[in-house]
Amino acid sequence: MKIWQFVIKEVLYRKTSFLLTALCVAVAVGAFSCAAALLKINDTKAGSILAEKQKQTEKQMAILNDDMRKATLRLGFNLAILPKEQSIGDWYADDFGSTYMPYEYVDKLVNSGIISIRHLLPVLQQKITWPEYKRKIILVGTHGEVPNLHKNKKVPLVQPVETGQIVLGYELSQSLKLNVGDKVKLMQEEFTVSKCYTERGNKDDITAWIPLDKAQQMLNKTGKINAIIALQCLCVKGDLSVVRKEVTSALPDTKAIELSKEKVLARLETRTKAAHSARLTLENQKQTMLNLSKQREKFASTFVIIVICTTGLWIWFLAFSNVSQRKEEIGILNAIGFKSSQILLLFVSRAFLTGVLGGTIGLTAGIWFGKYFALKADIASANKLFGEYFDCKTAVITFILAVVLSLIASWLPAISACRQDPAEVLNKG
Amino acid sequence: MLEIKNVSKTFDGPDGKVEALKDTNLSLKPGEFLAIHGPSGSGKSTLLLTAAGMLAPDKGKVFLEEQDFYSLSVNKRSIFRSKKIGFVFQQFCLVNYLSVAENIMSPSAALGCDNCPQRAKELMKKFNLEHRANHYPAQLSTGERQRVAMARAMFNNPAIIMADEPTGNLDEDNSKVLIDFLLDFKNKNGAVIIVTHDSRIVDFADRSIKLNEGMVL
Repeated sequence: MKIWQFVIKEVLYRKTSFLLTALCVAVAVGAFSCAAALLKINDTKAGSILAEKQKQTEKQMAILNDDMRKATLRLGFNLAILPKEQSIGDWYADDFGSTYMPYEYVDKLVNSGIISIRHLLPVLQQKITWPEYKRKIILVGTHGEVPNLHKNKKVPLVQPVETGQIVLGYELSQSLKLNVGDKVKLMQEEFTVSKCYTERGNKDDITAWIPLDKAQQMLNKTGKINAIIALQCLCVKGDLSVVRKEVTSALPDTKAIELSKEKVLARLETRTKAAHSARLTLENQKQTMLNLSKQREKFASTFVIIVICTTGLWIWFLAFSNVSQRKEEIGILNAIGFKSSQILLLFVSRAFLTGVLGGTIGLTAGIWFGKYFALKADIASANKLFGEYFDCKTAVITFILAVVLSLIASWLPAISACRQDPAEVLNKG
Repeated sequence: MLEIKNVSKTFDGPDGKVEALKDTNLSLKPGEFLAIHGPSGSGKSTLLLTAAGMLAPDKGKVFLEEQDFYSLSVNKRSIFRSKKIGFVFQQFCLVNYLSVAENIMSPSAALGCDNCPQRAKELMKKFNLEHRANHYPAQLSTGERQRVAMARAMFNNPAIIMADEPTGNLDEDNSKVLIDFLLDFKNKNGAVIIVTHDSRIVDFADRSIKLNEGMVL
């Protein structure tokens, strides 16, 4: 006879005890594998929910961005395109440029294909003393907006001044007592007042607008301008440098400075805030899910540890009662020549079989429950034996754990069995 | 063959130390039938287990075929015992989950055996157990159980059979059968030590000793 025959025979003889022990192992393994599967399912589900939310948020962000773009469309910024050599200090100090560039630059810019610039206003402006009234004014020569040829024609932002006409700022018209229709002389040229602006509270109040060609002639700057005002420019993601780069690549001898900076910043800030807010929401969701996942993991590991300890104690108890039941048998086996190691092997083999059976039952139950919950959670791989919710490696580890648990819990009883003194059992005299 | 020299054994009892054996001496030759009798607690079973190498004495030596039993390691002693001694107990001590044939063959798990089933068959035939080969101990009569225990004791062709109250649970007929087997073993040059209260066995023995309070009287 062989030792394994003893083990099998004993297991078959004490089926209930063996099955109870295997059941304990199965409960521990089932709890472990089920918890592992549920955590995986939860992570997978949370991941897909998060991905879906991210998609939705991105979609909403795009809509929001577009809404923002539309809402802030009119907050386009203004640029002044000046000759490259123009001192910016002088520009701000004098309110006009002291250097000039050819009028052809306007056409060049229009034909360059820049889409971010919508309205161009070529101007020639200079602070002069109005000889007839002996007072300082800003004289602006303009012919209104130059349409951007490659795009749809825009509604002009500034009406052109007709030939022979002059438009006066509020302070000028008031102090000189000039009204629409009045004839007025400027540098010996006669103009008819076509419009008097209401008070603006800025330099426009002391400005007089005349046709550009007339101004060029009067200021002796034929074919010249000293600035191109680009009105309501659009810029991608609020990046002004892009527009500047486009302008300077079309007109290398120029530079662009920004007017009405606050509007640009407001627009940029609004769009950035919207993006930031969406990102923050997404991050918060991720963090919340991560925290929930950690909490679940903590709970699951505590639960599994409690189950393993409890079932371990129960296996230990059952193994001890098995040893107690077999005291006489151990004595007689000793008497007929069994070595301690052979008796130990009897009990360890039994524990191994318990682990194998319990592990198989527990693992099957764990996989089954995992599959059930995965199907309920609509996990794509739920129909596979080992889907996303349970991998082969985890199964092998779980199975090994089952055997190890059974061996550890049965070890002390087995040791006590092999150390049992046969004389204690057999001595009746 | 078996020499027990000045063996003493003390146990811790509830009222202090109990001297189970006091300077006991005993010898046994091949083909000798020795009966040990005495009142309960006189140290009969202790003497038997000490002689079998299962209970180390506090003092003294046990020699079996000139081998100092207790100078051997526990494992070597187990193997030596298995080869030289066959055991029969009052409670039979059969393994419940093994059939009759398997119980008889069970010593082979410890020592190994070339032709175990054949040897088991021979013994079952000898002890009239062939029809019970696949029965379990719970399905046997007390006489049959004791015959199985006897067959198991003889499985390894031991030099000595040690029996502790083997007829204690048997009726007269079964006791007679058992005694006949033991006498048959003795007649084939086997040695028998039997611990008993049964005066009939004492009558069959070549020699009997009486123990009282751990001392041979």
